[in-house]
Amino acid sequence: MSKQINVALIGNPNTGKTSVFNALTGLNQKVGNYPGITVEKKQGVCKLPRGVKAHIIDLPGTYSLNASSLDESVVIELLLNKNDKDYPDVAVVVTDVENLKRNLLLYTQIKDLKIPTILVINMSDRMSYKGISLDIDYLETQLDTKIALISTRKGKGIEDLKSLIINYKTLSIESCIDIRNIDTNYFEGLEHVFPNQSLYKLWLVITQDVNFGKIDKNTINDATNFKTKSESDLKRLQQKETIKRYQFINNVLKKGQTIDLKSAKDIRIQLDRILTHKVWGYLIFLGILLLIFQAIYSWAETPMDFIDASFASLSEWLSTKLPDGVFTNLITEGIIPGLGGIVIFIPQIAFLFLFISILEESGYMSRVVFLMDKIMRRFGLSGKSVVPLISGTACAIPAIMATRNIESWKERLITILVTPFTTCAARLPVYLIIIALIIPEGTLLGIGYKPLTLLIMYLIGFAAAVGSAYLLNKIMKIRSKSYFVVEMPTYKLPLFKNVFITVVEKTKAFVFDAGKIILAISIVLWFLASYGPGDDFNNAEAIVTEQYASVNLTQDELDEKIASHKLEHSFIGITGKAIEPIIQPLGYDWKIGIGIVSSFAAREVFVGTLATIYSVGTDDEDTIKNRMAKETNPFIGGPLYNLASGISLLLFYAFAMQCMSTLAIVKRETNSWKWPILQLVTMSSIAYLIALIAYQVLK
Amino acid sequence: MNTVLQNILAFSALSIALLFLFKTFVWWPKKKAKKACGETDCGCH
Repeated sequence: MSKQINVALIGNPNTGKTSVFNALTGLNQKVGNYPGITVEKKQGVCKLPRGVKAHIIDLPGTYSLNASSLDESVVIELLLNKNDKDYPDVAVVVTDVENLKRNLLLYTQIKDLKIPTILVINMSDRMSYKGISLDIDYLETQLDTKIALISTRKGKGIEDLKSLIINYKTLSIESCIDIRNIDTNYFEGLEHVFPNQSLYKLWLVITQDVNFGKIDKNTINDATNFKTKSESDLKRLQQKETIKRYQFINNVLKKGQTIDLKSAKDIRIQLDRILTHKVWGYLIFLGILLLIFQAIYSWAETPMDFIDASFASLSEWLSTKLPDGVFTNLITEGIIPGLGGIVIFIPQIAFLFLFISILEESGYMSRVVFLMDKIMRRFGLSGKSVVPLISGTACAIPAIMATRNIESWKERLITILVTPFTTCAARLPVYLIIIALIIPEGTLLGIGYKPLTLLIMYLIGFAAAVGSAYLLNKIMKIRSKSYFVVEMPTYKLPLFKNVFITVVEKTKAFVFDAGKIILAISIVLWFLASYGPGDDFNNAEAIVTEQYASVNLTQDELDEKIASHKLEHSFIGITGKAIEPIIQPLGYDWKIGIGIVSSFAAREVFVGTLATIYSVGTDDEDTIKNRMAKETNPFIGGPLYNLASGISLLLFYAFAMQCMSTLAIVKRETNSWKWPILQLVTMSSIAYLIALIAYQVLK
Repeated sequence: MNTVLQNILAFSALSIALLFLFKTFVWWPKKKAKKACGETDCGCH
């Protein structure tokens, strides 16, 4: 009578598991479903030497034993249930030589179930292309198993695998990691209550909603002398388990696997060698950023001028068509200029998102994350902080929410605190209008001064973020670091449809989200600028006419003086004048002060606010840019927006925490007002000081 | 459009704008904090 052994083929998706199954079983296969569920069950028979028959079951692909789908639950159920007729005598974990690190996570979990486990490293024919070499003896010792290096494509190593299967009884069933190390007290308590059970199996029952033997989740929870943990605590321990496993895997692969990028022949590897190079990688990234900013300026200029002129004409046209009155003035002097202040930036923002989307679609963005990870580590942050910091270039709010996957609280807190320094899309309108006003035309090595200034502003934001992270890291002393795993996607040509949808969605979200706030603020500002208390406002016409009675002014000049007098004595003028002493040393007048205060709601409100303030009382057809360029400094004369005040304003917005929504998110994520208040005070103080120094040095 | 109607429309717009800003920036409905903030005490548990 021949002997039969049960063999379970387990592995991550796309490791060639089914190819191994086919190579072992040939045509001796049958396909069915697991009882009660529509998960495919593939079984087959492999004839081994000495008359042994291997009953091979090809389990659904799974990344780990932390099940997130029905397919993955099937794997755990079978591996825990010794009474199942398919319970394996030996598990064969199939891995892909290119993704060994990720694939080994599952191997360590299967091994910890104390099932004899063979490690299959598939796709060995790709090793020379990828510059990979493996020390099999070392890996076998460290992983405490036997390894079959195979290539199902070339048909190599299958006989060695069969020989390992037949000798499965010689395999060690020692664990890779001791689960007790995750939380000693908790696991010792569990062991005390269930002394005869495997701790790792009990842990899987607790966390995965699966049963083994007579023990299920309720049995453990109801045990009177065992204190269960909350769901969030269990999740935390699961994360810790994964980190411990990757620490083990990293140590094993450090010596057991060598990747020599120089000998790699793959195009993707060749590209990666250049794009992630420690010098060329950064230079190429800087070059790409420069090209993007240059294109943004060159391509967006014409549509921007068109939008700016259209809004000015619309305002002028409506003022002649609509009947005179408060509401007409509100529309032509408040709402339209305010909205024009945001719509004008649609072309530049759309181009920015177009380039970002192309970089993401092509697979290059993952390389940027990898590059930035190297910098982050030098400043005490792990790679997991890279994703929030890079997404912060779009908006700090989702970026701060993305910090949730950082395990270490201190590291997460530091990332939350520094992310608002990165240049978000809301800063872009402020930067663009100020740069347009103060930076002259001209080029340096073929790159315009304006795009170069914009690039410098982005770099200042990033430097401020990593610099403050470094300081916070020194103050807060992070002990534990999160591990960061990024899978490099293959390079591919971006799909036009995907890029188009991203650009439309992101631009729409930016314009509509900011548009609603700007519309509301424009209305309020117009009222504050059109009404005022006391005689100075109400009798403005008489006061100004009398004041300039001896001067020969044209009617237009007199109207301008009256409008200016009224604005200065309106509610907004009084408020602006009250804060003027604080901002005057920075080179700003009270109107800029109002812009700064109102843009505390959102940075992009700044331009809309100024557009509204400069429009009140005027009925000439002029663009926002021209109106700003015409403003004169009330204290020292000359243009208000000159190099000194412009640079001061740019630096103020680079460092200031001008976003109420971000503060609200920080409060929500930290569940305390302490951190957003600290963030607001610190960032505003830094912004004020740097803007002050810049103005005083440059004036 | 007479002056009264212009005033009604303008001040209605102002009321809506103020209400919107108040709802957006001042009045946030209380949400329960999620318990997912890492291995050490962040104060949210």
